[in-house]
This record gives sequence, structure tokens and C-alpha cells, in this order.
Amino acid sequence: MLAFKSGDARAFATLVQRHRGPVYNFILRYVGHRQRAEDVLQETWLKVVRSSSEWQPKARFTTWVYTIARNLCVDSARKESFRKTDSLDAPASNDESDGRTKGELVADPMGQTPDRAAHNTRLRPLIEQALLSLPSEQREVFLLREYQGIGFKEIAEVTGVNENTVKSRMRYALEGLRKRLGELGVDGELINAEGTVA
Amino acid sequence: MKNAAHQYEDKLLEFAYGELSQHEAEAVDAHVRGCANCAEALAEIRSVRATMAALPAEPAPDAGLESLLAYAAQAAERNAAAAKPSVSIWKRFLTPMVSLMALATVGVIAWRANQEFDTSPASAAADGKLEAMVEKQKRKAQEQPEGAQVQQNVPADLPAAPVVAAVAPQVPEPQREEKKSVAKAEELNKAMAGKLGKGDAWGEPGTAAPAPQSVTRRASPKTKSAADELRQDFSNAALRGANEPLADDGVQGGARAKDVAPPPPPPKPAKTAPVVLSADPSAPSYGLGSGGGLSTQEAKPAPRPVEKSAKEEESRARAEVATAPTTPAPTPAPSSAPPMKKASRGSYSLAPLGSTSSGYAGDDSVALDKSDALGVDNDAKFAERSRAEQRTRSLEAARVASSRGDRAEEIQLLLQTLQNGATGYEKTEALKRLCDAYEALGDTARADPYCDQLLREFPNTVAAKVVTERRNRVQRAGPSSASDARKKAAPAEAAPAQSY
Repeated sequence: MLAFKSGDARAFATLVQRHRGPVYNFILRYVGHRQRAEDVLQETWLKVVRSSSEWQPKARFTTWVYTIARNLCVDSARKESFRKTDSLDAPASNDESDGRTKGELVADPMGQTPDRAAHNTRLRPLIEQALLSLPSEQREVFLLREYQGIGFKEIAEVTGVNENTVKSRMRYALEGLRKRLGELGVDGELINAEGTVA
Repeated sequence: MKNAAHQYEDKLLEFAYGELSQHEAEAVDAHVRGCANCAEALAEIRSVRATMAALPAEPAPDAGLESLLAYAAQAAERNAAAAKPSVSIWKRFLTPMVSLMALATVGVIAWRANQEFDTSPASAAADGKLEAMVEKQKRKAQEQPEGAQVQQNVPADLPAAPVVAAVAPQVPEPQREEKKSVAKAEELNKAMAGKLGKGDAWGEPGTAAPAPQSVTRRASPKTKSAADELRQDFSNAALRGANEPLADDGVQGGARAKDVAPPPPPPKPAKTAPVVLSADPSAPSYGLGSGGGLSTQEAKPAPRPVEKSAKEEESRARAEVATAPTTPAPTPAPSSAPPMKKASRGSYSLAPLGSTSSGYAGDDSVALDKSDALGVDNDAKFAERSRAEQRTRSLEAARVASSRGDRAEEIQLLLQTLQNGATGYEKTEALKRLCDAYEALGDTARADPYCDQLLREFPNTVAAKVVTERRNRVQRAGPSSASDARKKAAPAEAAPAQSY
């Protein structure tokens, strides 16, 4: 980031290459909508470019970029709350849905092997549903800690709350996920037995 | 109060995510092995984590990546450009500062150099004050016996000259009061000399102090005449013009002499010469404000008997003519010519110094060209300069002769002026004066050619109009009494004839 601030464009390309995927996954899991996730992702990196002069070396770039992404996700969720949107649980209306819900369609990208697709068709929508069932403040903590590997202390910086609050939210998130996964008929033993855990 | 089990239970989350230190992790692990509740809680956490870990990572879309990188490249250029001004801002401030400092240095040097050529009113006032003091001293010297006069060649009332300290005690009785002020000045002078360790400590430019020294030096008969020395004094270059009559000098000075000042008494040429010269405002000083000082002096109703000896005038003219080999017929001022009156100096001021009108041709400013400064004066220029000086002197002497009533000498001087190639204003005045002088002598036959020439060559001048009116009056009076009328008219118009 220092190199980019001093005018090295290739340094920014390196940053994008390193962090774009994880940031996108965080945004996607947060907003639960692919197109909106892409928009927020683009907006996030544009803001990184525009705000590069404000970045201080004492802060980790990861913390900084996830703070931007999280704030944009909050803004996007707030805007979306004013729109009338269909639930991911609602049946898809197009012909290619094959009776699946919208959530299943969102979480089902193209180009997967039949086995993997079969597994995802059965498991991923459930996990997505469990995630989306969490309150946003618990979901963001869980996403940042579970998938982005950010420590509780840094999550506290990203979310703007203290560390104990983050841990508390994390416990609630884990408890909520356990209950929701149980309701959905998914547990860790089943996954381990199928051997599909990455 | 929490028990030990609850403490470990709180740390299970961090233990599950590996955020505890090794020591704490070992402690929690040991506790979990022995605590069924904590073991169950940890298993639930791990179970959920294992389930959620099955969610695969989505690849980021490439849409918008190129535009993002292009935008980042532009931003990088801006960042690079923004990084440069930190240096250029420094240069931006440093360069003007260095420039300002250089300008200030040059300005200070120029200012210090110009102090020698100070023409400010303050300097002029200082010079005027000096001049007044010298003149006052001169008047007193004229009233005193000759022996005392010699001692007063040095102006005793000037505080600056250390020489005064030795001379002042010999000042006779009538100057006791003045002597008191001199004593004060002496004390100050001595104090300064003691502090600075040298007598010329007063030689600060712009002060009146150095003037008396140079006055004394210039008054010495062994040295060249003051006027000659003045011409060679480059620092007094501007005074050359101020000390010589200007184009309209005769007009103003003459009118003033007629209206205000009575004609000065005949000068005493020989013995008072040094003192008279010392009183000359052309005496060099470090300030060039003498012109202004003279202007201040002109308000005084009393005439200023500043005079030059005829001998020195003559020797100066000879010396200058001798250096001009190409001069056709140098005619020095006649030895019998009376000393020139300086009453007309009252019209001198700094303002006309910048004038370059043709009426100024007879002035010494002719010599103030670059060739003089560069030492590349050629013969033609030198001859022209000499002729101009001779014209000026002869015309001025003619004015004096006219005021004295010596028509013959006036005519002779005016003819010399014409012979030396007078033009413009000088020629107009010479012709008018010749016309008047011959008319005054009753020699109309000789007057008419000059009058006619004046009317022919300068028909629109005041002098021509005066002559025309006079002729008209004479014609109306009748041919028989024409000569008488002319005789009466000519002297009456002599004075206004100066307004050529």
C-alpha cells in the first residue's frame, strides 16, 4: 500500500490479486446477493483507491479494507431493506430453477462437477440459509473470524465495538448456527462422514 | 464470583480458534479433558465450525477489474505527482527567498552607493543650512579686519571640522555668542574624535560635516579653482547643471532681481576670493541637495553676494580653451569683466536639472554625456562644449554689464556670444539685447539689423513682440522724435526683455 501511495500502480494490482477473492466472499456472504456483492466489491476497491492517501501504515491493510467493505455492506443492506425483495426461500420463477429456491440458485454457481454440484445442491444452500438467518452483527463477526481468519481484536476494530462484544456475538452466532443447522438437518458429523469438508 | 470452570468456559471460544497463548491453551486443554461441560461446549463449537467450513469460497468476478486497475493507475500517477510537490513547494519557497535576499542585498548596496549622490530634501536642507552658515560667516568676515578674516576662512561655526577647534579661540569679540555654540560643537567633536580615534569621524555621507573640510581645501589658492575642481568631481556631476544658469534662469533670476533684490554691491575680488569660493554652493559636499538648498535660500529677500574673482574666472576660461585645440577663436572673458552676480542662483533647483530643452544648450550639462564618463571625448565635442561655455559666460557677463549700464561692454560680449554660434534662446537674448543696447546708445542704424534679424528669425517670441511694439510706438510718435522715443523705450524694456 505504501508503494501504491508513492505512485506504484503495480503494487495496487498485487493488493487486488491478494485480497479481492476473500473480500468478495465476505461481501457475498454478508449481503447474500451476487450482483449486489459485485457492486459492493467494486465500490470497496474504488474507495480503497480514493482513500489511499488516508491509509496509515500503523493499521493493517486487511483490517482497513474489511472495514471499508463492512461499512459498504451495512449501507447496501440498509438500502435493500427499503426495497421489497423476494425471500431467498421463495421459489424461483424461471424455467432453469428446477423447483429450487432463489437461495439455492444464488449459492449454486455454474461449472461444477456433478458430484460437487450434487453435494452443494444438497448442503450449500443449507449453510447459506443458516448464515443468512443470523443477525447481521453476528453474521459479520462469524464471517470475519471463520472465513477471513481475522482475530477478535481486529474484528472489534472493523466493527467498531469492543472485543468482548465481538466474542459475545461470536458465541451467539455459533449457537444460532448450531440450532439452525440442526433444524435444517445438517451437522458436522454428517459432513465429516461424507468427507466433503474442504 | 465465577468459579474456575466458568473461567475456562469463557476461554473455550478463543481456544477453539487458537487465539490463546500456548500456556493458556495447555491449561484450557487440561481442564477440558477433566470437565464434561467444557468438553461438550468445545465439541459443539467445533461441530458448527466443521459444518460451516464446508461452504466453499467463491471466485471473485473479473467484471470491473480492468477499469479498477486503470483507475488505480491514474490514481498512482496522481499520487506520484502529489509526492513531487513536497520538493517543489520547498523550491517554490526557497527560490523567491533567495531572490528576495539577492534583491535586498543589491538594494542595500545601491542605497549605500546613492548616499553619496543623495538628492533628498533632508540632504538639500543640510546643504542649505551649511551654505547659510558659510554665508553668515562670510558676511561677518567682511565686516572684520583683514587679519581676522584670514582666520575665518574656515567656518568657525561649523561643528564638524576638527580644524575649527584650533581656529575658534581666535575669533574676535563680536562673535562671542556664536562662539558658545561653537564650543558646544567642539565638545561634541572632540568626544566623537576621542571615541572614534580619528578626526574624520564625521565623514559620514549625507551629513554636513565633511563639507567644511572640502570647503577649506577648495579655498586654498594653491589648488585649482573651485569650479575646475568641481567639474572633475564626478560625484558633483549633477551640480554642474545646478551651478550654471539654466534656460529660463535669466528670466526668473532677472525678474526676481528687479522685483525683490537690489543690485548687489560691487564685489571685492582679490582677498575675499577664497571665502567667496567657499561660500559657493557648488562647493562639494557629500550630498547633492545643494540645488534644493539654493531654492530654499532664494526666498530670502537679501541678495546673496556670492561671487567669483575675475582672475579665477579668466584662468578657468583660458585653461579650458587651451585644452580645446580645434576651437576657432576662443575668446576668454575679458579681464575687466566684473564678477558674475549669483543673484540669479535663486532660481536654481533640482527640477530643471532633468530638462533637455534647447534653452539648456549653453549649460555645462553639455559636458555630461557618456563620452565624458568613458573618456572618449573627441575634438568636435570638446570644441562645441568650449564654445557653449564661452557663450554662456559671455551672455551672463553681458547681463551683468547691462545691469551696470555699460552698454559698450555689453555689446561686445553679446557679439562674442553670437560669434560663438549662439542658437535658440541664447541667440534670441543676444539679438534682443544688442537691439536694446544700440537703441539705448541711439545708434538705430546698428540696432536695426539685429532687431530685424530677431523679428525675422524669432517672430513669435516675446522679445520680438516687444521690439515690434516699440517700433510701432516710435512710428506713431513721428519720425522726428523717433530716436528719442527709442532711447526712452529701450531702457524701460530692458528688464522685461529678459523674458525671451
